[in-house]
Amino acid sequence: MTVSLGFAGWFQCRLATDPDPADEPRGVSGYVHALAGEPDLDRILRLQPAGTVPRPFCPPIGVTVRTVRVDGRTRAGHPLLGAKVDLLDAPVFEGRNGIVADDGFEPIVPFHLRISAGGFRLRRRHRDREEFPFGDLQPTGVQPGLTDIADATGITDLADVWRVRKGQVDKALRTAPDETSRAALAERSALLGNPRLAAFFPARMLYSIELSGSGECHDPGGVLPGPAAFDVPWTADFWLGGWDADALSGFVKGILQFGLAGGARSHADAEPDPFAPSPPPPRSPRRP
Amino acid sequence: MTVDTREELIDALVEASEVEHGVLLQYLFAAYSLKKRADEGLGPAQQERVRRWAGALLAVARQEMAHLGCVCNLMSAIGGAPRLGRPNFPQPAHRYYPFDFRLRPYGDEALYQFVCFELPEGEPAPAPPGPAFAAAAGVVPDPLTYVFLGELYAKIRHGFEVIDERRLFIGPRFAQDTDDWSNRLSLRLVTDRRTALAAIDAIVLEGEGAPGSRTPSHYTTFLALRSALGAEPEGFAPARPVVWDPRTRSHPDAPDAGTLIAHPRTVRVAELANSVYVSVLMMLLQYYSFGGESPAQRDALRLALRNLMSAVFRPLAEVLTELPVARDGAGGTAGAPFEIYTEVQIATQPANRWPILLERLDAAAAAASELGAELPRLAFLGQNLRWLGRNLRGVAGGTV
Repeated sequence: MTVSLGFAGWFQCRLATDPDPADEPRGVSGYVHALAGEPDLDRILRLQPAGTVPRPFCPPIGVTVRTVRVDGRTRAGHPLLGAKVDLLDAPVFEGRNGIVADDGFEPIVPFHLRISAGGFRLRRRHRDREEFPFGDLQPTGVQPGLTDIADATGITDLADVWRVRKGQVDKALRTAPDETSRAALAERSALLGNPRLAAFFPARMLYSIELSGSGECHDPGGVLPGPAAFDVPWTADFWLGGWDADALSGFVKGILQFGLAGGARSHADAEPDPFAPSPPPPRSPRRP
Repeated sequence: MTVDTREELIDALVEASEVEHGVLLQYLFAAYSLKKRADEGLGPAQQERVRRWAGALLAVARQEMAHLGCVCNLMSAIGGAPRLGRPNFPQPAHRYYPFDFRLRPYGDEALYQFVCFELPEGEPAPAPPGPAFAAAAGVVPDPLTYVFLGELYAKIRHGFEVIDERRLFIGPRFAQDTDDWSNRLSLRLVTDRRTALAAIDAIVLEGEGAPGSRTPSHYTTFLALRSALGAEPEGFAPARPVVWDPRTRSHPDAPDAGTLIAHPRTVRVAELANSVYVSVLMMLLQYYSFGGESPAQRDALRLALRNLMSAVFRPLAEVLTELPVARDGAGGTAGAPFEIYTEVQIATQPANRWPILLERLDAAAAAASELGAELPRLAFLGQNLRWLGRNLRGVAGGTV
């Protein structure tokens, strides 16, 4: 028995860009800067609002479960719909100015995925110990994908969004109450006036990660038809795209797939599904 | 006083290499000295302005790196070898060059000197250099005299114009560097008089601007930075309390005082920065002294150079600007000394270049990791150095 949790939402990552060093705290030479009044850049990929630095007029951060399927069959009204999807242990895009990976091919290190809703917790690590060069955690490719990104975000042209947002920022700038917010809004206004920086929006980084490390399935309410199996790998297939250089956020959409251990109870409960998809084909080789 | 033989042209290009190299280090030193955080006394708007100043100065320094690469190509085209040595800091005016070479924190004195470096021909010039030299007769080159960078390049340009083109360009084109180092930095291939003059004109244009329009240029960038600094309130200090010309020891080629770093931990970090800097120079020498390296090895070397400069050296230099110079922690802070302890050289046998370089990177990684116990950012840099070494080992072949 296989459970597939489809997830999506905006994440934030505040990291300096080339030619700034990856651990640059404020941003100097690249286009990403910590604005006046904001804390230092920290490279951490955040899928939930905790720890993010929200900027006014930007989409809210939060990645949630959007679909639940059991053996390919959609479960409308499932209690895990709306569950929070998170990456634990302060993961970063580990590119380090090309030492680990080129732009667009940065691995997410470490990779420790968690789904939580009320008392329910389901989490698993890619591995318990990650090692350079983190090949399994790199994207399998970078592709243009405006159609998918537009479907997922509702945005077809980020430059249009920026034009509207610039108007909001400029209006706020005129009534900003103090020097700190004036400095921050002025810099955002300048960035939003540079549509070249919106050009990264239609690109998607494609990830396909097997989770075979330690984990936990805490399901006191019996939300799943059975306990998650940890003796076989789980898979997380997702893309990151829709990069918004003003909000320092992007969109993630994907599926976590895992098997259930001792699924007899669930098997008995499940209706036969004549349209259930055949088992997935063998995974393609990873990018070296 | 003119450049009209191959020997004089090579001498002038050696001078240009040293000057470009020395000038860009002074720009980097000043940029790294700038404050970043609000807790260093910067107001929100000042924080943003100072960030822009650092960005502008670093952008100019990157163009100077491209100029140095262009000079290496010009040298290669006429059969010369790349020159990446230079005298240590500080150097008073007229010992080696017509202007003094000092590592100064960002401020009006530094910016004044930077304007002088990039002063265009025709603009009001600073006082001329001291004694005039008579032209040499016969087999030795004429003494090379100039007051500003543009004048030096004018002499080099003259050499390329008058020396017989068919005899001059003897260097193989594959030894030159035409790779795009980044989307903002690419170099020109020099194969004949036309391409040589175009390369020189591009260097001068970036430095001085065109006679009718000086913007954009390094010269006008520095004028604007100086003007912006002057507009700040009296007493505003954009730079950390970085001392002039920090050094870990005295050098025969720079016997002047400088500021000796006495704090033991700062000395260790400064020596590490010097070691990484010399590794960068050795890698540049290897890159420009083509010894049969494969395309993959050249690509790896170029990438590793970028890695080392952005992801290791710059953070190290910035860390130093917050470390004390004096043993008791009082007084000013240090900065990257850019010291060259002995002549920078690489093995004549290409196979021997890799193990020597990798030994250096391993030693630097170990030192950074050890210092990381006290300075967390250095642990991160130690990891970068270790991984960078592993990347190079992957292409170095059977010699390591």
